[in-house]
Amino acid sequence: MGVWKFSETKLMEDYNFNPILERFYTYGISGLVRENIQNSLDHRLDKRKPVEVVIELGKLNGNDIPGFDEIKNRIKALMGTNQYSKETIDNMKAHLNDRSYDFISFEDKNTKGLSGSNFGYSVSGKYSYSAYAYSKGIHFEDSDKVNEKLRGGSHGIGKIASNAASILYTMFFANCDEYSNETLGGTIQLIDHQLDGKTYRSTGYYTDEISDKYIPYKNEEYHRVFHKSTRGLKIIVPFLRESFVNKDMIIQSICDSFMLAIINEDLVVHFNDITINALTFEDILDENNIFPETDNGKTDVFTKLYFRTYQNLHSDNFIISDKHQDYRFKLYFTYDESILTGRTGIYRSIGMKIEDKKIVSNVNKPYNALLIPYSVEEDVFLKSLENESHTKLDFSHFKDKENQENAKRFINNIDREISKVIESEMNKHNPPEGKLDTSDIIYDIENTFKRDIEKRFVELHIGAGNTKKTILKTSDTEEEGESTKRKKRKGKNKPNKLVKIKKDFGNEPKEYYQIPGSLIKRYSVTDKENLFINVDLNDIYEDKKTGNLLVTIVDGMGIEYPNEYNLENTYEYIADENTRTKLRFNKNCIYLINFEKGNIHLSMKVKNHSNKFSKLRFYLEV
Amino acid sequence: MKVRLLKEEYLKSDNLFDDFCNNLIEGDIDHFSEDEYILPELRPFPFYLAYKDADQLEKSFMEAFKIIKEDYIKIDREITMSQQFWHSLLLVNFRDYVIEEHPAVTTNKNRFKNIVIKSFDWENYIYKCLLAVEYAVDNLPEVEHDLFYSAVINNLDLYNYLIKYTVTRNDKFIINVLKIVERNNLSTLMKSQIKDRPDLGKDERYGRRVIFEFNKDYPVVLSPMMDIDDMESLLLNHLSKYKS
Amino acid sequence: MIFDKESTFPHPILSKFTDDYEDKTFILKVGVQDGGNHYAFKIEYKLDSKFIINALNKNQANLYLLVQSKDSKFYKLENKNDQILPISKNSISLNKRTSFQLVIMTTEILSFKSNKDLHKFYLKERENIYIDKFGVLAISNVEKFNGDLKKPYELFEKKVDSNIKSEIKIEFGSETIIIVYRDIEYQYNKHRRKNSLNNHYVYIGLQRALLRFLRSNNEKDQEEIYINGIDEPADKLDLKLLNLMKVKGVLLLNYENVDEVIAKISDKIISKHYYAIEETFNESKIA
Repeated sequence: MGVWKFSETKLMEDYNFNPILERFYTYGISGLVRENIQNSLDHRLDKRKPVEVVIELGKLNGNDIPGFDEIKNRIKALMGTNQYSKETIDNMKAHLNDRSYDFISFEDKNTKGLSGSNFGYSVSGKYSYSAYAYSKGIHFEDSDKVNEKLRGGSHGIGKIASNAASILYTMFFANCDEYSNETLGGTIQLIDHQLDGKTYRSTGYYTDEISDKYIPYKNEEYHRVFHKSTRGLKIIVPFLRESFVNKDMIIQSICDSFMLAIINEDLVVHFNDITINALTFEDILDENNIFPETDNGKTDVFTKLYFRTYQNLHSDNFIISDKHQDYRFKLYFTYDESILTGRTGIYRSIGMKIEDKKIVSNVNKPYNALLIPYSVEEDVFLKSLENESHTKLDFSHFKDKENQENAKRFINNIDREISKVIESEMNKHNPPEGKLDTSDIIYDIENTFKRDIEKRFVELHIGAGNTKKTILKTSDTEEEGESTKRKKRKGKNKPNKLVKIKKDFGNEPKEYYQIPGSLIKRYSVTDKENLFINVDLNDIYEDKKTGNLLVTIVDGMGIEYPNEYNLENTYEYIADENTRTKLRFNKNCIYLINFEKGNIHLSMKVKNHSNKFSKLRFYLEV
Repeated sequence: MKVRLLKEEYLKSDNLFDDFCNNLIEGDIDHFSEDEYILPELRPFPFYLAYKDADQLEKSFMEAFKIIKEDYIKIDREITMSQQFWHSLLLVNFRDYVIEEHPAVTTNKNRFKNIVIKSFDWENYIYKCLLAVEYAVDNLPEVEHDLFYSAVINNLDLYNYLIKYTVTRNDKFIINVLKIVERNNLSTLMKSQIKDRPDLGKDERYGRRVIFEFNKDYPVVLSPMMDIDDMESLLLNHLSKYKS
Repeated sequence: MIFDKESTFPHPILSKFTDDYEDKTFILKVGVQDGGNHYAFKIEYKLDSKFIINALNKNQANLYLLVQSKDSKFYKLENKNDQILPISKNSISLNKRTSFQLVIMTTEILSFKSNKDLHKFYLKERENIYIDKFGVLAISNVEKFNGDLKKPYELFEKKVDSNIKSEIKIEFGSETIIIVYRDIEYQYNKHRRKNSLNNHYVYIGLQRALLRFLRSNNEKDQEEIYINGIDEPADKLDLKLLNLMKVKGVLLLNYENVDEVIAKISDKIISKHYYAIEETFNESKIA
């Protein structure tokens, strides 16, 4: 018996791959990210602390993947009977001997993990481990009662999303429960097949079998990637599809789907070396490769807009009803004519976005909104409306006609209620003719300026009552300020490039290169002054071998005086340390410094100490 | 007493001068903002001190110092450092006093601008006096106040130059400079022109040049934090650069 | 007294515009509370040079807070972080601009012999470097309070005035650019994308404001402005523009690059205008 367990069967019945695999495949990497993080959020342990999810994207060798040899044999035995399954099988076979395989893993912390792993397979339904490990992962479809979902824990569906992301439809899950039982399980989704004269069902389980009972393998001596040593669950998807290996897309979908969870400090995600939390979130939104700006402002990723809208609470008693009762929501709303595509983000109270809902006949209206359940009650109801992939509110999965109609009514009412808000806001901004108040209307374009200017300001509120005032604070340091920049940018804000600038040194304005202070080192030892300018001059002057350096003095307010510092009165001589020659100089200019070493190193003999405390600026002739 | 603040745009108003002359500001709510201050009774004081006559100059300055110290110095700076406040006070509350002291302001619009709605900066006499009183009260024992005020009046050119720039507009620095000048009898030298240095430009005076030397070295040398004796030798050293 | 302009000091200092220390920072953060007749300033700072901390601990150096508003004041601080400094309201006002900075000053001649925090460039010679008494060792960043902006987040206003002599007029308010229309029709109010349709006026408004900025803020008739090198303008509109340019990473403003600067500080106003026109045009075709 192998390490993978497939049930034997008399007949070949399933000639097709499970259709859900194909469906999840079309949701791409963002579907995978959503499924796994959502499951983690649903199983939070300590509500006072955020759930942490560690995502790793990397490569594995075939022989580090548990049971790979057996997988190979099974796949070699698969026979496709129609065009689609043939293609899938051919593709699997083509990847059996790759040099290495991409993988992605999702490890959660501050979560419960699966319980009862030491009991293995159990029919009682008491332990989540058995339900998770030994089902096909299509628990959802099997159930025909809506109510069953309301009990929560549709953990199974996430599993098949993971299978779908793997070329070989394989996924593993490392579990560590509250008693520190560390186990490793997995599933593979194939089709019915014959091997060594026996017929097997489509689904294989990576599990031990002791006296006819499935018991998970202890998680020992596997490759590091498969370890899970703190309480929680770790999903590992080996043979990750190439199209899923997209770092920017992973970050984008984390931010887009879980914005609220992250900024409300319910979730922290570590992805390779990047931390996404409430403090870094806004900076990540600003990263152009992750949230690219389009020329016309049209986009199908609305995260930035939602982030902005989340500052504007429209109502925390926004009522949407179904046939039986009212449900209370929080509605956040922005009306801004520069918005080209109008969407309403529907969120679960765990902070996950279900969909960018298009409100009927308002898809191109200049608005943006967030709809969030007010309490658990609304949240549970909303969850029941999710389609199987949690990407849309839908009614078609309700089998019961009454329930279906009710869901339909509720979804239509969302459209209706939000339409009303959009309409009233539009009227407010576009009053009917004759009533137009034209003085002092502030452009909506202000929103853009506001956001930009706000970045430099911190509001300080002092006093109360009549003496209450707001003071705006700006800080000239990027490192602190109130907007937290990510650590890796620390210290990178010092200017280190030459800036071309027009200056008048007494004749007429000409262009010079101003050398930033951070590139200059200056110090004195007794009557010798040293000046070192660390700049690669060869980059700037291609074939010029020498150049002139101009010196100005700066007073205590930063005002510059081009003709106040008198080199002739101050120095007996100025020497070029790179060539060991003395240089010619006049009042404010040192001539013919040699550039061949790329930098400038001068030493000056001081004859008059009255300029000893001067602050200087240096310019190179262009 | 109640001081109602004029509208923020009062200086742009076309009829400010006419309304002032015809005593129409106070009755016209269009001139006022919604802000007002309720303050203890305030007395007017000489607020425009461009006197050629030395005795008159000293007498007026001293009177201004005295009233500022008694009536104004305890008021929050938010009020006393506001141009809007002083202009409101002069245009409305002190209108009679202003016209009595400077009758020309109702006949000559330029005089009006120059005297009544003079911008509130280092050239404004109220500003000059206010800083001097504040510096004395904050830093010196009562008995030394008059000495300091005299030093300000004796060295007005230097004092103006000191309060003109942010780098030297500092209580301790100004007090020390004036003390050093007085105790070394440098007053006359400091205000006289440097004649033999055409390279410095015209109308360069010893005092200004010495202060400029302090300015150039700041903050490499943090002269305002020095004690007076250290500063004295530095000042004399700076001065020696210009005395041939 | 605040000094925050890039320049080269005669000896190594710790500051944000020099690179004399290896990966060391000196950062000030100021908070404020109203204490009735005084303001209570909360002074926090981060200083990570062991050499300078040591000099403070041994009283070889003192820490001062500089406060610059209508005039400049300095306060000697305790050598400890997170302290509250009360300043009486008749000594300071916060309704205009107020800037704060920390400086560290030597109280005796100080040798850099044991200064291991210096940039490696100085390693060979550091034992021969001495700092005079009253010399500066470190200057922090500047924290600026702005109490005088009435509409901090607004840059534009629009007005209709049928008496103006042109169809459209750009005016400058105390802190906004005002677009004055002779005829309300010119505001495109009938169209859904009326704001984007107004962007050509916005463009002109920005251009005029930047040219004005250029004229009034260039020292000594230089033809261009090095954005990080100028003082905060007294004019409030100019101050807003300066902040915006800093946020958007504009380094230089001159007569030739005004359009580039507009592109940087505004959010694609011309392409938004273009799409608004396209859409308006298409809508009218359908209608």
